[in-house]
Order: sequence, then structure tokens, then C-alpha cells
Amino acid sequence: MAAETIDGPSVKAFVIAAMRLAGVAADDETLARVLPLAETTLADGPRLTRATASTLEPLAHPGRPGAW
Amino acid sequence: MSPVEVTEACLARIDRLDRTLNAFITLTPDRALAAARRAEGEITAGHWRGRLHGVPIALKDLFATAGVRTTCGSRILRDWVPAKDAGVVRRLHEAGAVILGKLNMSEFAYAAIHSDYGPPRNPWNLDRFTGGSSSGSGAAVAGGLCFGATGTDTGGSIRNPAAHCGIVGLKPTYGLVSRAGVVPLAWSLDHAGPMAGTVEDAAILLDAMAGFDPADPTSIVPTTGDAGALPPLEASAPALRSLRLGAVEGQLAKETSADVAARVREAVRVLQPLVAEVEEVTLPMLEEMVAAWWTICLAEASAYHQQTLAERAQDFGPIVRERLQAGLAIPAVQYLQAQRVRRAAVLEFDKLLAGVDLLVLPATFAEAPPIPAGDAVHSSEVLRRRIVPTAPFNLLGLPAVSVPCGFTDSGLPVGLQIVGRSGEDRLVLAAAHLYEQSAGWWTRRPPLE
Repeated sequence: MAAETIDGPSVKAFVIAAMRLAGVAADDETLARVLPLAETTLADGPRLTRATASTLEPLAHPGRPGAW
Repeated sequence: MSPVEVTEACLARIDRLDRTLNAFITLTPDRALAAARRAEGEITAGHWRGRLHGVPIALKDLFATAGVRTTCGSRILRDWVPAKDAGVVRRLHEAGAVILGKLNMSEFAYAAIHSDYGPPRNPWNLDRFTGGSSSGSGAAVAGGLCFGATGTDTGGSIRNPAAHCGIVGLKPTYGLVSRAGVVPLAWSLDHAGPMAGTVEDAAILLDAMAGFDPADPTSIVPTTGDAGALPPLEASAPALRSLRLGAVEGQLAKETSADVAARVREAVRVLQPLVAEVEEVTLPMLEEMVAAWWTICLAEASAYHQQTLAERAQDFGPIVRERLQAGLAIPAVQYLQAQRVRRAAVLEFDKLLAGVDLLVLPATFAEAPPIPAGDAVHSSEVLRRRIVPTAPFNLLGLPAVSVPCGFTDSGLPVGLQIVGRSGEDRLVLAAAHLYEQSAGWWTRRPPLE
């Protein structure tokens, strides 16, 4: 179940921006802990995109029963 | 025994054992005894409310309880006293249950126990963890401190501690049990459900917990054959003989420890002569579902906690803080792709479950781990691996139960997971009951005294 690898410096810059936009401090110590999980999760993006490339099925309305 | 006697016996056992097990965050003995006396009076007067009436149970500490603090295992909500009960708590009160207190849990049901509360200990081996996030629920039920407990399950948080503690835990169909008044982890993945010593006890709890609640927008009306004052599980036995089971084995073999895999294989062999057919199956889109689960869980949890994270980051435990911070960086497009993958997976599983009635697979890949160090940080790969056997069914909203199926070489419990179609919770429980009664593991108790 390994995630794909993506470019580390790009992820770091992206995570810093996202945290600051959310009003959360992004110091070096915090980033050292957060980046491995963020990198793994962001690396799932391409896999998810590929898996949906040919899907025409509509999504449910959020908040309605059966929304999953 | 009368409700008062059995409540007093539970409170005495908690007094003896909970300093070791650390299952409870808050005990409510006065309220429990008052409820027990009320139940005793009603039953004596001929007003029996059902099989939960006068029975002592406990609640995971994220179900809101009017007048009783609800910490979510966190420092953030350490002193939060809700004004009203969660929908499930109200239903349990109406069923006459005696609530002993609030149970320890992973902080906000996410990843790790906060150091303010310390980890519950596994009654089968006090050096081992209970699993999580319904950790105190697992310890309390397995330790005989109560007759059942509530749990919540976003990626396995009922089934994982149930398996590790040798008890039964059901994650019901999404929407069957109200989550109104239950502090969320990830709205679209969260389920509330019962944990108990036997399948029948779990079914009794589910009967009380399940039902439509207009305060939860995802709440569904149970269809006939779900929960709710139903005949005994044994009544389903004839129907079980025509079942087709899909055993998930080869696909997970590399990840599963040898002794856990052996116990699950033995369990399937026990079930084989009791059903029509067992065939090996492969779960479709497994890697994609794991990826989608991580994306959705991290994003929804970070959305819920975003403001608190900005204002009180230091009050979260380090592991939960780190996960919440990582979740802030998930792009909206990735979250939506994950929801599209989820929809595609639902359709693939509809096809799989047209060919078999139930899936059987391990509830965990390995036995209960050692108690983790205070702020131990697990690698992303370890975290991903742990949720693989359970999280897909949160994504899909399917009912899934963990039932004890033996012990590892070091004497720790193993859980067999049985998964059914949406709305077929009763069938899942009936199959688990059939296995439980045939295998007999439920008679074993941990050596606490």
C-alpha cells in the first residue's frame, strides 16, 4: 500500500503555505514532524486522479443520506 | 441479581481493577446507582423496558452526556460539560441502561492517547495496548468492568480494539446509528456502534442504539431485518446455510502475521460446513480506497479542528497535532477525487457482493502492540498499513463486525472480521453468532484476578 513519491521541496513549500493560510505556525520543528505524513498523503493525489479518469458516475449531494 | 446488585458489583470491580486497566476517564457511580434503583423499581412494578433494562454499560468519552464532562480524551475539552445527551445516549437511557461512566479513548478518536489520561491496558496482557481509538471500551468490556460499551469507528476504531481485546465490536451500516451529539473525527467516515462480550450482547446494544434521528442528516430508517427488537440471532440459522462467503486471504497474506492468518483460516474452516459455499475473493480497488480514506479522513478532521488548531495547537497531543497540521495541506481537488474514487468503489463492491453474501477477513494484521511510548511517532507507512483491513468498509459504509477467533502464539486475541451488504447488519451479526457459538472462544476470560 505504498504511496508514490513526489518532489520533497515542492511539498514543503506547499505545506508551509497551507499551514500559514490556516493561521497555524509552520516552524522547522513542526515541519519535521508534519512533512512525512503530508508527503505520503499528497502523493496519493495522482493515484486518485488516475482511478477517477474514466468515471462518469455522479456524486451524491453532500449531507444527504447515501452521500458516500 | 438485581440491577442494584449488578451495578454495585461492577463499581466494586472497577474500584479493584481500573487503577491498572485505566479504562475510565470519568466515573458516575451516584448516577449509575440512581438509574439502577429506578430500573429495579420499574421492573418490580412490571414495567420491563427490554433486555438492556438495568444493565450496566459505559460510553466512549465522545458521546455528549448532559451534566457529565465529555473530554474526547483531549486537553482541549477537558472541562466540557454538555447541556444535552447525544441521540444514542438518549436512546440508551430510554432502554433503561445503567451508565457507569465515560471511557478512555484516543484523543479526538485520532491516532494516540493524550498523555493527560495515559493509555488503557489490555486485560489479556497489561504490557500491551488495547488498540484504538475506542481503547477504554475494549479494556472495560474485556476486563468485565461493564457488560457493554459504545464505540465509534472511522477507520477501524471499534473493530481494532475489539479484536485486540478479544470482544465483539460492530461498525454498523453508515447512518443506522445516530451520530448527533457525537464529536466527529471525519463526518463522512464516522460510525457509532456497540462493543460487548458476545455477539448477542452486541445485538442487544445495537437494538437500543439504532434508529432514525432527525438531528443527524445521514440517519436512515432501519429496514425490516436490521436492528430493533428482533428475534434471537439463532432464528437466522436456517438462512445462514444458504450463504456464500467470500474469504479475503491471498490479497492480504503479505501484510498479515502468520499466527493471525492461521487463526482466520481456521475460523473459515469452522464456518465452511455451516454455509453453502466459501470462495476466495479479492477486494477491488484496495490501494485506491486506502488512498481515498487517508485523503478524506485527514481533510475532514482538519476542517473540524482548524480553528482550535490555530488558537490552541499546543494543547493537542503531538501525534494528533501533526496529523491535523498535515491535513491542512490537502488540496480541494484531491479531496473531491477521493470522493469520486469512493463512489466508484461502492459500485465495484456492489458487484462483488452480488456474487457472495458476506466477506471474511482479518480484523487486524497483527496482535495487540506494546504500549506505545508517550509521544511515539509512527511512520506514515505504519499508519497506512494499520487501517488497511478495516478502513475500506468505512469508506463504503458497509456493516462489519470483529468477533474473537482464537489467540496468537503469545496468547493475545485475534479478531475475525465479517462484512455484509449495506443494511444487512442483522445478517452480519447472525453469521458472527453462528461462528462464535461453534468456535466457543467467547467463554475465555482474561486472567485478571
